Amino acid sequence: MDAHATAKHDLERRSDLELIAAINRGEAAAFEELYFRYRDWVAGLAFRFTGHSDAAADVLQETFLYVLRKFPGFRLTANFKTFLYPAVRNLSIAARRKAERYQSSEAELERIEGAPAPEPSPGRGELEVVLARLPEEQREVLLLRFVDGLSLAEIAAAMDIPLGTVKSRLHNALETLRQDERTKEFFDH
Amino acid sequence: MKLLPALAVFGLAAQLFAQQPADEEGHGRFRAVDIYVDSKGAPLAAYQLQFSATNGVVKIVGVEGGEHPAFREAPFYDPKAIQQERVIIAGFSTASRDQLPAGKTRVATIHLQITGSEEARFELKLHIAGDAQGNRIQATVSFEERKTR
Amino acid sequence: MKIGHPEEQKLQAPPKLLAALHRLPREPIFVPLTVDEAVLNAARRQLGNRVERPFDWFRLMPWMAAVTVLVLLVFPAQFIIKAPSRQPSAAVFNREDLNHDGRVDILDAFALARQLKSGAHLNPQFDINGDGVIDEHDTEAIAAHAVSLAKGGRS
Repeated sequence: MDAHATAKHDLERRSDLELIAAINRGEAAAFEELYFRYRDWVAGLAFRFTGHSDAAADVLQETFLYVLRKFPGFRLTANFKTFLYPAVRNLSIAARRKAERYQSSEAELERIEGAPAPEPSPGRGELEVVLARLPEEQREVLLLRFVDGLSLAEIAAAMDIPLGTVKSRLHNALETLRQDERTKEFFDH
Repeated sequence: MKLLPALAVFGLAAQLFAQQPADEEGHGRFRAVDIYVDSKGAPLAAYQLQFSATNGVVKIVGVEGGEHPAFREAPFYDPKAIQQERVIIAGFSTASRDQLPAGKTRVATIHLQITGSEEARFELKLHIAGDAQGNRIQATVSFEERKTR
Repeated sequence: MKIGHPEEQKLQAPPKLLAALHRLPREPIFVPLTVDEAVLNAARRQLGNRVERPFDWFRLMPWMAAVTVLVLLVFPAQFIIKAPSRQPSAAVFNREDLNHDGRVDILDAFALARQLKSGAHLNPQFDINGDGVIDEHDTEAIAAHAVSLAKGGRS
């Protein structure tokens, strides 16, 4: 393995905390590793919120520029996704507001921020159809828990809501899936 | 009375400060334009076209392939076109005639960065279209900007 | 959180649901290279540590392939044009103009690709990039010439 590949391999093996310590020391290569480690997750999350890949690219850029402004002196006290989540969400809401700026009213803004996901295209699975009909806050908790792998406490920190609220939303989401004819089979033993 | 001008100055300064990061990074809005070739029913095996923006507010930032398997891979284009306003894209497929698209098909998507508030304007020109034997065929080109929700 | 407590059990996803959630199709998000560059350039400026991290060739491979093809196209042309000529480009175009229609475009690249696929014996002059082999790289060289902005395009 040549020197270049060795350096890259070393960076890839570092934990998020080690990378952040290196970035605080001024190592741009460590920031690059952190960026690529989370780039696709942030882009996917931004797409979940904005529904459009171009807006997601905007949000991705703004999110990491926001992260960059935290250095030097940044201390990661939680899972890095927990730290990123509110930034992505808030920037996505801002992006959607900007896109709708010629049509928006207060009611419209509420509609944008609280809207359920668009209907999946025909031919997509029934699970997606049922997920799309969940209230956004329940769907988000479900996906953060079981797709993005955050713990309940991390979700509470990321969404800035009480742990009890996270549990309640997750319970309600799972109950909806359990009761729906199209998805109850997932709960059969 | 002195308060009003001070507030006005503060407000302007605040706006400038808020915009500064975006200006420093040259950040604009991202858009995607889907490019279609309509071969009028003839199997399309090759195409070459030029896409350009005509009012100076657009930069090309990426090129993607199309929807049909024959043209799913990103087309050929000059890397120098990135960050410019004009690009020539071209693609071909050596698949058999029955595996080629016939009719209107999306052959590529061009990703753009739009700066400023002026409406972007585009121009599309077909250079050539060919069938499976490499013969020229009649075709038309069109584009559709993907709508932002 | 203790596993097995009735309240926590209600918050677990059964294995079938977990598997289905992980199989959910995700639309690939196209991230323009300019986004990567904007973020990483900002990082290099701010962090001030000009660590000469080598280019990540793997991630930039498609771009480097296109640039390499263009470079290979330029160098052979320089060897062919030995003296000032009224038609310096004619020799280059003649080689790449496979269908002899007087111009180099994607149909010429397509013509070579079809010949490669058919396994027919190939004229050595089709070694466009001069590497001693006639293969898809020569096709790509012709295509790169066809889409080159430097030649002024075919507006």
